[in-house]
Amino acid sequence: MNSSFEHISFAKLTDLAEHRLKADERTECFAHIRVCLKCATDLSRLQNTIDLMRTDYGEDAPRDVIRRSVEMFRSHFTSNKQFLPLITAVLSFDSRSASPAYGLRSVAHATYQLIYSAGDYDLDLRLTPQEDEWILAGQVLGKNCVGAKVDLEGMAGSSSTTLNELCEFTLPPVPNGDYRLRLRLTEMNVEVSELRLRA
Amino acid sequence: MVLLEQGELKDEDLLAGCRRGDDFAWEALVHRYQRLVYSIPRHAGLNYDDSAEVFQEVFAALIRNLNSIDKPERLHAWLVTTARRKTSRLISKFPQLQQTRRTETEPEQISELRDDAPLPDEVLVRIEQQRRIRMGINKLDERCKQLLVALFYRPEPPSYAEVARALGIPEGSVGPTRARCLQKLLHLVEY
Repeated sequence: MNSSFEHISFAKLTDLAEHRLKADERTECFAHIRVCLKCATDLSRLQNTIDLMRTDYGEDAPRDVIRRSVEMFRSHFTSNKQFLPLITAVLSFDSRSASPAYGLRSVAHATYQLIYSAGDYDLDLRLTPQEDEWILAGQVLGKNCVGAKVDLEGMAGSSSTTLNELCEFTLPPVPNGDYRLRLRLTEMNVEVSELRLRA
Repeated sequence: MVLLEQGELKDEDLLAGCRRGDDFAWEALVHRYQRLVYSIPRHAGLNYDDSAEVFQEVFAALIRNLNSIDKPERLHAWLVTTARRKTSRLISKFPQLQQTRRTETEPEQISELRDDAPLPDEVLVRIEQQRRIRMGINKLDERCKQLLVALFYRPEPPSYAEVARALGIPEGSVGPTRARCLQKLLHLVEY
């Protein structure tokens, strides 16, 4: 290769970028690159691209998370065709596995507290066993929650109610079982997808 | 590694489809940006569950704002900004999350990438460049796609013999094919 006039072939540039050339070939290439802007630019771009591929440690989101986000789009419409996304609430506190949080009011010892978070909303649930049934009560912390509907649905039963002026609610008792709790707010629906009510 | 991006439609076209209520446009959009949006809370130190929460909130916010995004061609920037805000908000609301998560067992490469600044801009730039490269690879023919993934999507370069065995091609063809495929990729990718 005449380093003054002939550009380095792309194949050889790739070998150079990947450190696959012998020492004398490397020397010859770099001698050309020092005086050739095109080859220097091509080499830099190749090296950068290869480096980006080799260090692509990014993760795909979990499939179920992607699926929920896809389903969010078609799940909910109001009567005027406005989209209402469905957010799955995430459990952030369980009194059964932690010391009681501040603010936990005095309740019967069998009652336990669950706190869920969904965006700008927190859902404070109190679950009280009563023989073979459960009483689910709670409060929503966030904006524009007064009057929102709360639905509890499961194979064993279902119940619904509406949040009061303090965004509190108490659902009618339901039997032991697995349930889904859905909160229908003005700008989104929030769901606790797995609520196990078992004695 | 699975390359799932939808290669052909521009963001503006997908956004227009979403505004018309097109489920497929929305699904394509989520798949196109899922890796980017998920990477932001993960790079900030949040665990899988918390990162999933941020992920959902970002796409929920996108649904709410479908009709109010002024510049559809800047959708990528909107998603990055929204993901960063929601990540920062979650961390400020529960500061222990970020601290605690740093000690959990997780892929070594994620730990190596994290630094003291929770969301460094240069990390986001690299994530976007890597996304564009993956989109470019997805537009290549199947042979090039398989070869480039086998050669480059691993920290240490494999031998040509190993790649040739894995893909069922002659070892002597790996080098020339690699160069041809890389050249095609560089024509497709702009960053």
